[in-house]
Amino acid sequence: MSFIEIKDLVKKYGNTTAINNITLDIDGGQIYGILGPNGSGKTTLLKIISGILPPTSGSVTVNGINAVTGADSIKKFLGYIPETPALYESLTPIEFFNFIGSVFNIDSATLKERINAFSSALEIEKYMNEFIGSLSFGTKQKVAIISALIHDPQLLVMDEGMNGLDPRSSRIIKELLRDFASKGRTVIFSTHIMEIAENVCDTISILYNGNIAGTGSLEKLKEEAGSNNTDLEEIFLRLTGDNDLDTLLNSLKDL
Amino acid sequence: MKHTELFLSRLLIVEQRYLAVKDTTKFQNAVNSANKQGYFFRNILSTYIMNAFTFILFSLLINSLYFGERSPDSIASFGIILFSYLFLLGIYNSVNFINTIYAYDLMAPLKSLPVTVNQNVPFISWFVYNSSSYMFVIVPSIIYFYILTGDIQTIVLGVLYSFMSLILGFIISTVIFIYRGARTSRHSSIRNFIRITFTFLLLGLFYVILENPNYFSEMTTIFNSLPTVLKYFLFPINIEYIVYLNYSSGFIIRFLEIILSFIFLFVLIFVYYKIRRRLFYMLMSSEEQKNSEKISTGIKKDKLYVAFLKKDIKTTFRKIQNLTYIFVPILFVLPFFFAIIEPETGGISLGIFISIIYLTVIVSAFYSIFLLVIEGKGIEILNSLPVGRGQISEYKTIFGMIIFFVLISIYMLVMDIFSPGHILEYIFDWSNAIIMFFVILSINIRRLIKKLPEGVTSINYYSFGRYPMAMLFIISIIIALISVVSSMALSYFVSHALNYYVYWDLPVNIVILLILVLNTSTFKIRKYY
Repeated sequence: MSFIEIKDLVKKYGNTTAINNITLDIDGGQIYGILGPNGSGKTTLLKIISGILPPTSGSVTVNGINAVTGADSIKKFLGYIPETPALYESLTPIEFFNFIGSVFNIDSATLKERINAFSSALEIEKYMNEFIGSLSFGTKQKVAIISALIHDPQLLVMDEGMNGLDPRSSRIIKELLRDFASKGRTVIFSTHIMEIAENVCDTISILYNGNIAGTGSLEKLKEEAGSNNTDLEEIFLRLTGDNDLDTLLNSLKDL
Repeated sequence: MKHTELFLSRLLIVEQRYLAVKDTTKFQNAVNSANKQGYFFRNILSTYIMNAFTFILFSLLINSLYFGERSPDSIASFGIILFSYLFLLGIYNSVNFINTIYAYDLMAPLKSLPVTVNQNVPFISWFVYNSSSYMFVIVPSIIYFYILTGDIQTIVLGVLYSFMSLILGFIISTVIFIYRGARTSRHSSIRNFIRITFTFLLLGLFYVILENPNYFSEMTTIFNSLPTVLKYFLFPINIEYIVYLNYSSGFIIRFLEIILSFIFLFVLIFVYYKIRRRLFYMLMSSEEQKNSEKISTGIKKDKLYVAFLKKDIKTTFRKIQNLTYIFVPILFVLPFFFAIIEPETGGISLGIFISIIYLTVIVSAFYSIFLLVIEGKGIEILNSLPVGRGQISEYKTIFGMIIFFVLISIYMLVMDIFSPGHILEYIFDWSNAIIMFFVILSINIRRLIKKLPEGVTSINYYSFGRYPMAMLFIISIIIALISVVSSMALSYFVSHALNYYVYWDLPVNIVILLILVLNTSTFKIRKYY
């Protein structure tokens, strides 16, 4: 049995179909990338997996728990990083971490140890007593990442979680994710940045218009795309049928 | 004062103004990099003039009732209020000023300049470009007093004491800052609380003036009964004598009073010189201090409901807009209290108290929306945490109840002080109000949470469907009416009189509460936002 099982998943917002009958198995202990352009349904899919949003039809189970009926149970071992770091702007990072630590019932000593380690690694110690609202986007993103990690979750869901990070922090997060997965935990993250997906993910699913256009390791996707010498960007464009960009680019150059 | 000191002081204010407006669209559209400097210098000047003008107008407005009386006693008594206001304003403004410099490390740009920064720069910046404009609040009072009495000393000492009021405020803020140190940073709960308290004090002052214009002249009688030593030495009470009422004293007394005032001034300047160095170095090294702060301090796990309460309290008290909403129910009932304070209305005070209670219960019903709205964008994070909707409702209800409990208890206390002898009725009303508000808050919070759309990523006043406020008040009024009508009916049927309504209201409300608690469907909350 896979760690995450998605069967015939459909999600509609009124007349708009965000997820169109997806079936997907995600094994545990890996970094799983969901790649797709804006509006392809990445955020919706991640929210359904996280038990934040109910599907219109179909089912999702995480570690054998139904994501609708057992949403609260899933959230106990979930770390979720939203697309934009929507945090409590009137709190300081320390106060926010205290709140998260209290929700997950982490003892003070462990909480202190983890907050110190993460904030030092991501170099946000000097902002710990500032209001979150006054921090830069990148620093807020770091706060969101730490808050998702401090309870040592089994499943980490990052919705464009690398956005706004400086190269050093981005590198640290990548290493952290690899270490996280090597301990048998699972990371699912969405991105539209090919370089990140190519460097970090063990498995990639390409989501396009609410459908899975391709799934597998980078090598497998290359095979599916019919070329072993191409990069992920090219594979993405071929699998999503958007590879005929040359004409468009040429027309833009003529402007 | 050297030109360099003034220039550096002005830079500090410019930095503060820049912080305040840099993200506003108006600023970004209106100002290009070429004229930023000029924009801020003009801005400082225009703000100063506006402040001075507003304070003169404000002072004229509230003094006007006493000007008509042409009574030096009233002007003098009201003068103390103005000086006290100036003193409190000095504290509030300097706390703000010092904390902003520290939190944003605004002294840093001065360090890189090829000049020695004088230790008086923070004070000069605060006084010259900011707080001295507040001194205009006393100007109409001292000028009018001079017109009435021909005593020029009032003007001289009025200006001197207004400066002393401000410098004393600055000294107090500095001492608080030095001893609280880095912890003050940008945490603005206390500042916001002071600001709101100011607003309500001012409002109260207006009510007092409108209710009984002779109130302040009565203060002179009270001050007259104080020991002489206090009348001369206790700031700000001594202002009434030294600044105003000494116009009929002999030359020697008046001369000694002037000497005494200058001694006060020198003492204040001496204290300021003792603490300015410490303040200066703390402000100059704010970044280093912040970096060396141990981040491990303050990390602590709480019980879940305590964690939620702390979060909500901080979110509320640190945003001036949120804090204002908390005080709205007081605004609605404030005039009633002045009716209670008036001795001749004491006989009907119980009826007034019941009106206050019901009005507060109904108006406070909007806390149910407000308590959810303060989540804002944080709701997305909350959605991903293992906390059920029912739990969120409970924690929000607890917070709402705490606020209401404090309000209603203060009301009862005020009632018992000004209209004693009805304690049993007050306790019944107080209990009734708490139970009724709990029912109203619980029903509304749960109802509103159900209205939130699926996967909501941000909550505001438009997240709850159409006419949320109207629905909220209609439901709250219906609940209150059920309670009132039932208890009146019971009172009438049992004792053929409505007088016992207060006592019947409690069991009725307990029954309503039990119906609510036992009706599980009311508490059933949809699984998703």
